[in-house]
Amino acid sequence: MKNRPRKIIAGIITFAVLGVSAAVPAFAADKTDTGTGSITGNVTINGSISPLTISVTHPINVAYAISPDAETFTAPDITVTNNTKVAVIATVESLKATSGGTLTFTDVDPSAKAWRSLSLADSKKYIALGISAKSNSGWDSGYSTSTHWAVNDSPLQVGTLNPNTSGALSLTADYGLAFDGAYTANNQLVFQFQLA
Amino acid sequence: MRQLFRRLFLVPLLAVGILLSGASPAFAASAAPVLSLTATSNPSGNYVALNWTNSDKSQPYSYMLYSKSAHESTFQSIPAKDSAKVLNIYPVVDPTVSFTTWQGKSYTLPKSASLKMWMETPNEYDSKGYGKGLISVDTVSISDFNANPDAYLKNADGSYKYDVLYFGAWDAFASQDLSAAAESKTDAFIKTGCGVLFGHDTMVDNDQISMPNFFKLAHYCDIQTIPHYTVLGGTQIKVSKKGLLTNYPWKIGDVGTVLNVPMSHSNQLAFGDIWMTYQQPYTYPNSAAATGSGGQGTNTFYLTSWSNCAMIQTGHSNGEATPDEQRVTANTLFYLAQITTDTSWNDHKGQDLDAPDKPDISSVTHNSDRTQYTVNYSSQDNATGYQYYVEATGQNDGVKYDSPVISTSLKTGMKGYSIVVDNKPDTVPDGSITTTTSSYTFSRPSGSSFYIHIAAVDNAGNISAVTHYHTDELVSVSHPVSIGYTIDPNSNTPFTAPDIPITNNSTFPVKVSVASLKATAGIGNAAPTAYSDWNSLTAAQTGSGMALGVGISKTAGSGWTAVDRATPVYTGDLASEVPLGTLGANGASGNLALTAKFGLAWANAKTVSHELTLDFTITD
Repeated sequence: MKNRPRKIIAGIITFAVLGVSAAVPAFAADKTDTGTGSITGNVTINGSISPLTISVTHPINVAYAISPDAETFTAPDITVTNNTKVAVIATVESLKATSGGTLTFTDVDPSAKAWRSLSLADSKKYIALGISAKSNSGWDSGYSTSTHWAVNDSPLQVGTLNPNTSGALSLTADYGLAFDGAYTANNQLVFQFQLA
Repeated sequence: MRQLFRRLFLVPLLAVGILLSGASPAFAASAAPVLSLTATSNPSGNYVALNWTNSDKSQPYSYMLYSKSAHESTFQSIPAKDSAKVLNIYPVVDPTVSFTTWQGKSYTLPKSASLKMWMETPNEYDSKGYGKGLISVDTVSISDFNANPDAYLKNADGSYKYDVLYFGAWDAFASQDLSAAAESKTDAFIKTGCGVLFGHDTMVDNDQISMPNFFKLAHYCDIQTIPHYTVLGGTQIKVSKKGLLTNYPWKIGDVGTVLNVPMSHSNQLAFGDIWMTYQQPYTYPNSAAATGSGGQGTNTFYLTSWSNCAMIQTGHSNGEATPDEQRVTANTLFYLAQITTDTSWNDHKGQDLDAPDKPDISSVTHNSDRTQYTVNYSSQDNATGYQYYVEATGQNDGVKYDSPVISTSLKTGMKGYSIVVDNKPDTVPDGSITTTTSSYTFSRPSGSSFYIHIAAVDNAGNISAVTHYHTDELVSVSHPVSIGYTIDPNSNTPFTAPDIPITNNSTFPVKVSVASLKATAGIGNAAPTAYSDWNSLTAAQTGSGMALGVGISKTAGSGWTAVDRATPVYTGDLASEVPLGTLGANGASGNLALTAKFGLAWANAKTVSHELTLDFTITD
């Protein structure tokens, strides 16, 4: 999964527009000041500043696996690398279940269910999927140790990544065990990256 | 003539020496008259005191003084009296004038004999008339004079009564020429060294008007005819030569002074000293300039003299004379009174005629706010050199001999300086003394530029050439009204700014200083040292401030003549204005360069503004 926040796109567009004006950093017509002995002259200095392009590398998609028999949830870390010249702040905007798989889960809070006793129907319906920063993975100090649960609408500011630094996020989940077959399900993870 | 006398006189001296070679030295010395002359300059009186002695006491002598200034090539006779007795020989005309002299005597004379009225009648300028009591005039008609000239010229003992004869004044001299006898007696009068002033249309001899006997005397004035009637004249004349004739007893004016006279004209060529010429345009009808062969001589003269004779054009307007013309006439008559029997004379012709050197300005300074200026200068007076000799004429035997030529110089010394400060480039001070010191402080006139004009003046009133000094304080500097720079944080060279060209249009170097440099919109000011690593700033830090600096760009090949600061000036440096450097005069250009320290974390496109205020100051 490759997540390109709109902010980046917007930034690219902005850059392109400002790039035209930046090609003509000229000065206006001359003025001649005159006076006796000592005179002053004013020059207005106008600066046009382009936005910094945020560049972040992350996987386009990751796959997790739920094994009811082993009662295990297995998912690889999601590594995010900051290629920007300055530090960026990574925020999980959303982690929503989406259609496209053989199942479409309903995200719920992990405390909302008695997960080991869910029925077949509820096991195939509910999941509590969460994501959090992985400690000691490159996040700048002060990163969030909280888990963003998919059911929540509030974004989670994960932490700050310095330039040329990678940080990892880990997925976690609470789920039912009553699956009667192999199924697939999709979630859409949306990041927001902003300049620190 | 002087050389001839010396040769003639040398022969008898040698003969005496041979004949008396065996005689006693004392006897031999007494046989050779010794005429010795001394000259002592008198700076305070602006004259040269002459004294001479003649060892020959066997007969009375008259004397004629000759002088030549350093500005003249030949000796000329000079006045040797402090008064002038004049005989006015006038043509007979009907109009008359009546007047009462300053001595209270009343006269009615033909208008052609107005000279006495001019010289002796009180006027608004002198209670004794234009003759100032120095000139007395007798009159005789030319008809009477022609009949028996010696009766009017001489005393009973044969000596001459008058110092000067004046023939005038009427148009065409009323066509009354000298008789042959009168011409001969006048010639003899001239040869004694006495003066003669010829009026209008006396010395004329051409195809329309001729006075043959008068014209026989023309060579004494160094005048020649123009064979074809050729006139030139007007009502204004201009002084063309400076000397006794122009300043004693009346100060008529320096060379170039224009005087008003009744309409008159010339009709001959003058080759001698030209004291006054007609001022162009020549308003007399059909005026035409003429010269003699080889370009010598001129008919532009109004008054010319040579030795003890002169010609003036007074008379064309039939007895009319302006105050200017009457002053000129008085001075000329006095000038021509040259024979004396005295043995001393204060030569007022021997004046300090040389002006001081043109002042040399050594410095022009001013106070801190340029409201007071002080100019320092110097000059030296110059002496006028003179050579003299005296010619003795034995009144019994007519023998003439000269003294040795002696030299002296007269320098009256510096009187002071005439100074004008104004806004004109070529003002000539009027000679009035502004200061006697070599330094003058004045308040600066209004306006951006002014001129100092200084002339040195000596105690004789000679005014030097004028030194003009231009002080220009008009600072004129061209620069862009605004410039734009870009910051592209994505680039390896994020900051791109054009130089700021500054052109000094002033006529003097200008010091360029930064008076102010402040962020005015979109961002704040930050010191360049605010962050150790500007590249690691957060977005908040980046957006809160940047450090913009300005300094002199490259100096090589530019108009910067001095650099006061080699590093950029930032806002924090500007507790007071900071000089950057000096731009040369007259269009020199130099660039200022912008420098910036800023963060890279620009989340959005942004425009920011700073205002740079430069100060341009005249440098000395």
